[in-house]
Amino acid sequence: MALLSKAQSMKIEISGTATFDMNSFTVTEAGNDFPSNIEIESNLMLSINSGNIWDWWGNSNRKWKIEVRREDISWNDAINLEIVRSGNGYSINNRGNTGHIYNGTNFQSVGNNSSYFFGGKGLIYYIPIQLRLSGFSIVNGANDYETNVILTIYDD
Amino acid sequence: MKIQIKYVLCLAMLVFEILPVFSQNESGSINVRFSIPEIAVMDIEPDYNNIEFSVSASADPGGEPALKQISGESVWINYSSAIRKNGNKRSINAQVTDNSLPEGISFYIEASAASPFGSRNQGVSTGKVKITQEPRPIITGIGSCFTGDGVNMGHELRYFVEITDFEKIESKTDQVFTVMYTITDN
Repeated sequence: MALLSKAQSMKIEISGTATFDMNSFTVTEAGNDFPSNIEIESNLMLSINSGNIWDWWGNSNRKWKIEVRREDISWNDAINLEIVRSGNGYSINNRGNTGHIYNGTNFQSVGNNSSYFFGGKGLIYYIPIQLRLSGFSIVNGANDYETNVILTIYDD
Repeated sequence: MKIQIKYVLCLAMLVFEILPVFSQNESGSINVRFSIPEIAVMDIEPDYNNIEFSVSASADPGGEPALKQISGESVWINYSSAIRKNGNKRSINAQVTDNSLPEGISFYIEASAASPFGSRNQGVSTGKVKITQEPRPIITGIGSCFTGDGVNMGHELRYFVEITDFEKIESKTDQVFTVMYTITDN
Protein backbone atom coordinates (compact mmCIF):
# COMPACT_ATOMS: atom_id res chain seq x y z
CA MET A 1 0.00 0.00 0.00
CA ALA A 2 2.90 2.31 0.62
CA LEU A 3 3.79 1.97 -3.04
CA LEU A 4 0.31 3.13 -4.10
CA SER A 5 0.72 6.48 -2.42
CA LYS A 6 3.99 6.93 -4.25
CA ALA A 7 2.31 6.56 -7.63
CA GLN A 8 3.12 8.90 -10.48
CA SER A 9 0.76 11.85 -10.85
CA MET A 10 -2.10 11.50 -13.27
CA LYS A 11 -2.19 13.51 -16.44
CA ILE A 12 -4.73 15.59 -18.29
CA GLU A 13 -4.75 15.31 -22.04
CA ILE A 14 -6.87 17.70 -24.08
CA SER A 15 -7.74 17.24 -27.72
CA GLY A 16 -9.81 19.33 -30.10
CA THR A 17 -10.24 23.06 -30.53
CA ALA A 18 -12.50 25.86 -29.39
CA THR A 19 -13.64 27.92 -32.34
CA PHE A 20 -16.14 30.72 -32.72
CA ASP A 21 -18.65 31.41 -35.40
CA MET A 22 -17.77 34.99 -36.27
CA ASN A 23 -21.37 35.53 -37.37
CA SER A 24 -22.19 35.58 -33.67
CA PHE A 25 -20.58 38.99 -33.52
CA THR A 26 -22.86 40.61 -36.05
CA VAL A 27 -25.88 42.77 -35.44
CA THR A 28 -28.95 41.68 -37.39
CA GLU A 29 -30.92 44.90 -36.87
CA ALA A 30 -29.45 48.36 -36.51
CA GLY A 31 -29.85 49.53 -32.93
CA ASN A 32 -29.42 46.09 -31.39
CA ASP A 33 -26.65 44.83 -29.13
CA PHE A 34 -24.93 41.44 -29.52
CA PRO A 35 -26.80 38.32 -28.44
CA SER A 36 -26.43 37.74 -24.70
CA ASN A 37 -24.89 34.25 -24.95
CA ILE A 38 -22.50 32.88 -27.52
CA GLU A 39 -21.83 29.16 -27.56
CA ILE A 40 -18.39 28.11 -28.67
CA GLU A 41 -18.40 25.41 -31.27
CA SER A 42 -16.03 22.96 -29.74
CA ASN A 43 -15.05 19.34 -30.04
CA LEU A 44 -12.95 19.46 -26.91
CA MET A 45 -12.20 16.16 -25.25
CA LEU A 46 -10.43 15.72 -21.95
CA SER A 47 -8.77 12.46 -20.94
CA ILE A 48 -7.42 11.43 -17.54
CA ASN A 49 -4.33 9.36 -18.20
CA SER A 50 -1.33 8.10 -16.34
CA GLY A 51 2.19 7.09 -17.18
CA ASN A 52 2.10 4.59 -14.36
CA ILE A 53 1.35 1.03 -15.35
CA TRP A 54 -0.17 0.46 -11.92
CA ASP A 55 -2.93 2.94 -12.71
CA TRP A 56 -3.60 1.11 -15.96
CA TRP A 57 -3.84 -2.33 -14.51
CA GLY A 58 -5.40 -2.17 -11.16
CA ASN A 59 -5.73 1.21 -9.53
CA SER A 60 -9.26 1.87 -10.70
CA ASN A 61 -10.20 3.58 -7.46
CA ARG A 62 -7.52 6.24 -7.47
CA LYS A 63 -9.55 9.38 -6.88
CA TRP A 64 -8.79 12.68 -8.50
CA LYS A 65 -10.33 16.10 -8.96
CA ILE A 66 -9.95 18.72 -11.63
CA GLU A 67 -9.74 22.44 -11.02
CA VAL A 68 -10.10 25.13 -13.64
CA ARG A 69 -8.91 28.70 -13.95
CA ARG A 70 -8.23 31.35 -16.57
CA GLU A 71 -4.88 32.88 -17.52
CA ASP A 72 -5.69 36.04 -19.46
CA ILE A 73 -3.61 37.39 -22.27
CA SER A 74 -6.11 40.03 -23.38
CA TRP A 75 -9.50 39.94 -21.70
CA ASN A 76 -12.36 42.05 -20.41
CA ASP A 77 -13.83 41.08 -17.07
CA ALA A 78 -17.30 41.90 -18.38
CA ILE A 79 -17.03 38.77 -20.53
CA ASN A 80 -18.03 35.65 -18.67
CA LEU A 81 -16.44 32.39 -19.79
CA GLU A 82 -18.21 29.24 -18.62
CA ILE A 83 -17.33 25.58 -18.84
CA VAL A 84 -19.35 22.40 -18.53
CA ARG A 85 -18.73 18.66 -18.69
CA SER A 86 -21.23 17.45 -21.30
CA GLY A 87 -20.59 13.70 -21.04
CA ASN A 88 -19.02 10.98 -18.95
CA GLY A 89 -16.26 9.78 -21.21
CA TYR A 90 -15.13 6.17 -21.23
CA SER A 91 -13.48 4.42 -18.34
CA ILE A 92 -11.18 1.60 -19.41
CA ASN A 93 -10.27 0.19 -16.05
CA ASN A 94 -13.85 0.50 -14.86
CA ARG A 95 -15.16 -1.16 -18.05
CA GLY A 96 -17.03 1.88 -19.21
CA ASN A 97 -18.83 2.30 -15.92
CA THR A 98 -19.98 5.90 -15.93
CA GLY A 99 -20.46 6.09 -12.17
CA HIS A 100 -16.81 6.95 -11.72
CA ILE A 101 -17.13 10.59 -12.76
CA TYR A 102 -19.18 13.20 -10.98
CA ASN A 103 -20.07 16.94 -10.84
CA GLY A 104 -19.28 19.54 -13.50
CA THR A 105 -22.47 19.03 -15.50
CA ASN A 106 -23.78 22.57 -14.96
CA PHE A 107 -22.13 25.56 -16.61
CA GLN A 108 -19.81 27.31 -14.19
CA SER A 109 -17.79 30.49 -14.49
CA VAL A 110 -14.07 30.24 -15.11
CA GLY A 111 -12.24 32.94 -13.22
CA ASN A 112 -8.64 33.81 -12.54
CA ASN A 113 -8.70 31.87 -9.28
CA SER A 114 -8.66 28.09 -9.49
CA SER A 115 -11.96 26.44 -8.63
CA TYR A 116 -13.26 22.88 -8.48
CA PHE A 117 -14.68 21.60 -11.79
CA PHE A 118 -15.37 17.88 -11.46
CA GLY A 119 -13.98 14.71 -9.97
CA GLY A 120 -13.70 11.01 -10.60
CA LYS A 121 -11.60 7.92 -10.11
CA GLY A 122 -9.45 5.80 -12.34
CA LEU A 123 -8.52 6.52 -15.92
CA ILE A 124 -11.28 8.07 -18.06
CA TYR A 125 -10.96 9.01 -21.69
CA TYR A 126 -12.75 11.38 -24.05
CA ILE A 127 -14.76 13.37 -21.58
CA PRO A 128 -16.53 16.01 -23.71
CA ILE A 129 -16.42 19.58 -22.43
CA GLN A 130 -18.09 22.72 -23.76
CA LEU A 131 -17.38 26.42 -23.36
CA ARG A 132 -19.83 29.32 -23.42
CA LEU A 133 -19.35 33.07 -23.46
CA SER A 134 -21.73 35.73 -22.20
CA GLY A 135 -21.67 39.35 -21.19
CA PHE A 136 -20.78 40.65 -24.62
CA SER A 137 -21.84 44.12 -25.51
CA ILE A 138 -21.12 46.25 -28.50
CA VAL A 139 -20.36 48.98 -25.94
CA ASN A 140 -17.06 47.21 -25.23
CA GLY A 141 -15.99 48.06 -28.77
CA ALA A 142 -13.98 46.21 -31.38
CA ASN A 143 -11.16 44.29 -29.79
CA ASP A 144 -9.10 41.10 -29.77
CA TYR A 145 -9.50 38.76 -26.82
CA GLU A 146 -7.38 35.82 -25.74
CA THR A 147 -7.19 33.67 -22.64
CA ASN A 148 -6.01 30.19 -21.69
CA VAL A 149 -8.28 27.88 -19.73
CA ILE A 150 -6.02 25.86 -17.43
CA LEU A 151 -7.27 22.50 -16.15
CA THR A 152 -5.24 20.92 -13.37
CA ILE A 153 -5.65 17.47 -11.89
CA TYR A 154 -5.08 16.76 -8.22
CA ASP A 155 -5.22 13.54 -6.22
CA ASP A 156 -8.35 13.71 -4.15
CA MET B 1 22.79 -13.71 7.56
CA LYS B 2 24.16 -10.17 7.80
CA ILE B 3 24.75 -10.04 4.05
CA GLN B 4 21.13 -10.99 3.24
CA ILE B 5 19.73 -8.04 5.25
CA LYS B 6 21.89 -5.62 3.28
CA TYR B 7 20.43 -6.91 0.01
CA VAL B 8 16.88 -6.35 1.22
CA LEU B 9 17.67 -2.78 2.28
CA CYS B 10 19.38 -2.02 -1.01
CA LEU B 11 16.44 -3.38 -2.99
CA ALA B 12 13.95 -1.30 -1.00
CA MET B 13 15.98 1.89 -1.58
CA LEU B 14 16.19 1.12 -5.29
CA VAL B 15 12.40 0.80 -5.54
CA PHE B 16 11.84 4.12 -3.85
CA GLU B 17 14.43 5.80 -6.05
CA ILE B 18 12.78 4.66 -9.26
CA LEU B 19 9.21 5.66 -8.39
CA PRO B 20 8.52 9.33 -9.00
CA VAL B 21 7.71 11.69 -6.18
CA PHE B 22 4.04 12.02 -5.35
CA SER B 23 2.03 15.29 -5.52
CA GLN B 24 3.01 16.61 -8.91
CA ASN B 25 -0.01 18.24 -10.51
CA GLU B 26 -0.51 17.96 -14.22
CA SER B 27 -2.26 20.64 -16.24
CA GLY B 28 -3.68 21.03 -19.69
CA SER B 29 -4.79 24.22 -21.36
CA ILE B 30 -7.35 25.35 -23.91
CA ASN B 31 -6.61 28.50 -25.85
CA VAL B 32 -9.67 30.71 -26.34
CA ARG B 33 -9.20 33.52 -28.82
CA PHE B 34 -11.58 35.68 -30.80
CA SER B 35 -11.98 39.14 -32.28
CA ILE B 36 -14.94 41.46 -32.21
CA PRO B 37 -14.94 43.36 -35.50
CA GLU B 38 -15.72 47.01 -36.12
CA ILE B 39 -19.42 47.46 -36.71
CA ALA B 40 -21.40 50.37 -38.18
CA VAL B 41 -25.05 49.77 -39.07
CA MET B 42 -27.88 52.26 -39.21
CA ASP B 43 -31.49 52.40 -40.36
CA ILE B 44 -34.58 54.57 -40.32
CA GLU B 45 -37.76 53.52 -38.52
CA PRO B 46 -40.43 52.91 -39.59
CA ASP B 47 -39.32 51.40 -42.89
CA TYR B 48 -41.76 53.42 -44.99
CA ASN B 49 -41.24 57.00 -43.99
CA ASN B 50 -42.49 59.45 -46.55
CA ILE B 51 -42.62 62.98 -45.25
CA GLU B 52 -44.98 65.35 -47.04
CA PHE B 53 -45.15 69.13 -46.99
CA SER B 54 -47.60 71.43 -48.70
CA VAL B 55 -46.93 74.97 -49.84
CA SER B 56 -50.16 76.88 -50.38
CA ALA B 57 -51.16 80.44 -50.90
CA SER B 58 -51.84 82.55 -47.88
CA ALA B 59 -55.43 82.93 -46.79
CA ASP B 60 -54.80 86.67 -46.51
CA PRO B 61 -54.19 88.69 -49.65
CA GLY B 62 -50.52 89.68 -49.80
CA GLY B 63 -49.57 87.31 -47.00
CA GLU B 64 -46.78 84.75 -47.01
CA PRO B 65 -47.49 81.29 -48.40
CA ALA B 66 -48.44 78.72 -45.80
CA LEU B 67 -46.01 75.85 -45.23
CA LYS B 68 -47.41 72.80 -43.57
CA GLN B 69 -46.18 69.29 -42.84
CA ILE B 70 -48.97 66.94 -43.89
CA SER B 71 -47.59 63.66 -42.66
CA GLY B 72 -47.50 63.33 -38.91
CA GLU B 73 -45.51 60.15 -38.66
CA SER B 74 -42.64 60.07 -36.20
CA VAL B 75 -39.35 59.06 -37.82
CA TRP B 76 -36.42 57.65 -35.86
CA ILE B 77 -32.82 56.79 -36.67
CA ASN B 78 -31.31 53.66 -35.05
CA TYR B 79 -27.71 52.57 -35.10
CA SER B 80 -25.21 50.10 -33.66
CA SER B 81 -21.53 50.93 -33.64
CA ALA B 82 -18.35 49.23 -32.45
CA ILE B 83 -15.08 51.09 -32.80
CA ARG B 84 -11.59 50.19 -31.67
CA LYS B 85 -10.19 51.70 -28.51
CA ASN B 86 -8.87 55.17 -29.39
CA GLY B 87 -10.47 54.83 -32.83
CA ASN B 88 -12.24 57.74 -34.50
CA LYS B 89 -15.80 58.34 -33.42
CA ARG B 90 -18.50 58.29 -36.06
CA SER B 91 -21.03 60.68 -37.51
CA ILE B 92 -24.29 60.36 -39.38
CA ASN B 93 -24.50 62.59 -42.40
CA ALA B 94 -27.58 63.54 -44.38
CA GLN B 95 -27.81 64.76 -47.95
CA VAL B 96 -30.42 65.18 -50.64
CA THR B 97 -30.26 62.69 -53.46
CA ASP B 98 -32.60 61.81 -56.33
CA ASN B 99 -33.73 65.20 -57.58
CA SER B 100 -33.04 68.51 -56.00
CA LEU B 101 -35.03 70.77 -53.76
CA PRO B 102 -37.46 73.18 -55.40
CA GLU B 103 -35.97 76.64 -56.00
CA GLY B 104 -36.52 79.11 -53.20
CA ILE B 105 -37.09 76.48 -50.55
CA SER B 106 -34.61 75.28 -47.92
CA PHE B 107 -34.87 71.98 -46.16
CA TYR B 108 -33.67 71.26 -42.61
CA ILE B 109 -33.33 68.24 -40.36
CA GLU B 110 -32.97 68.27 -36.60
CA ALA B 111 -32.11 65.09 -34.72
CA SER B 112 -33.32 64.89 -31.13
CA ALA B 113 -31.12 63.85 -28.24
CA ALA B 114 -30.72 60.07 -28.01
CA SER B 115 -33.53 58.24 -26.26
CA PRO B 116 -32.64 56.89 -22.81
CA PHE B 117 -33.23 53.28 -23.85
CA GLY B 118 -29.88 52.78 -25.56
CA SER B 119 -26.38 52.42 -24.21
CA ARG B 120 -23.78 54.97 -23.28
CA ASN B 121 -21.55 56.49 -26.00
CA GLN B 122 -24.46 57.39 -28.28
CA GLY B 123 -24.02 60.38 -30.55
CA VAL B 124 -24.99 63.99 -30.04
CA SER B 125 -27.32 66.01 -32.25
CA THR B 126 -25.77 68.90 -34.14
CA GLY B 127 -29.08 70.76 -33.99
CA LYS B 128 -31.06 72.06 -36.91
CA VAL B 129 -29.00 71.49 -40.05
CA LYS B 130 -29.66 72.77 -43.55
CA ILE B 131 -29.62 69.79 -45.87
CA THR B 132 -28.23 70.10 -49.38
CA GLN B 133 -26.76 67.74 -51.93
CA GLU B 134 -23.52 67.76 -49.95
CA PRO B 135 -23.40 65.43 -46.89
CA ARG B 136 -23.71 67.29 -43.60
CA PRO B 137 -23.46 65.82 -40.10
CA ILE B 138 -26.68 65.71 -38.11
CA ILE B 139 -25.31 63.44 -35.33
CA THR B 140 -21.66 63.30 -34.21
CA GLY B 141 -19.53 61.66 -31.51
CA ILE B 142 -20.87 58.13 -31.95
CA GLY B 143 -18.71 55.68 -30.02
CA SER B 144 -19.23 52.00 -29.30
CA CYS B 145 -22.95 51.89 -28.60
CA PHE B 146 -26.43 50.79 -29.55
CA THR B 147 -29.65 52.80 -29.62
CA GLY B 148 -32.28 50.08 -29.54
CA ASP B 149 -34.29 49.02 -32.56
CA GLY B 150 -37.57 50.57 -33.69
CA VAL B 151 -39.55 53.77 -33.26
CA ASN B 152 -38.93 55.71 -30.05
CA MET B 153 -35.35 54.35 -30.07
CA GLY B 154 -32.30 56.39 -31.00
CA HIS B 155 -32.85 59.90 -32.31
CA GLU B 156 -36.15 61.29 -33.59
CA LEU B 157 -35.78 63.20 -36.83
CA ARG B 158 -37.72 66.40 -37.33
CA TYR B 159 -38.02 67.95 -40.78
CA PHE B 160 -38.54 71.59 -41.65
CA VAL B 161 -38.95 73.53 -44.87
CA GLU B 162 -38.59 77.29 -45.17
CA ILE B 163 -39.18 79.66 -48.02
CA THR B 164 -35.86 81.42 -48.41
CA ASP B 165 -36.44 83.21 -51.69
CA PHE B 166 -40.05 83.87 -52.52
CA GLU B 167 -39.19 85.21 -55.99
CA LYS B 168 -37.94 81.77 -57.03
CA ILE B 169 -41.05 79.89 -55.95
CA GLU B 170 -42.92 78.44 -58.90
CA SER B 171 -46.16 76.59 -59.09
CA LYS B 172 -45.30 72.95 -59.68
CA THR B 173 -46.73 69.50 -59.37
CA ASP B 174 -45.47 67.28 -56.55
CA GLN B 175 -41.72 67.52 -56.06
CA VAL B 176 -40.09 64.41 -54.69
CA PHE B 177 -36.60 64.14 -53.33
CA THR B 178 -34.81 61.59 -51.19
CA VAL B 179 -32.66 62.15 -48.11
CA MET B 180 -29.82 59.70 -47.76
CA TYR B 181 -28.22 59.05 -44.36
CA THR B 182 -24.73 57.65 -44.03
CA ILE B 183 -22.86 56.54 -40.92
CA THR B 184 -19.22 57.33 -41.36
CA ASP B 185 -15.91 57.52 -39.52
CA ASN B 186 -15.01 61.09 -38.71
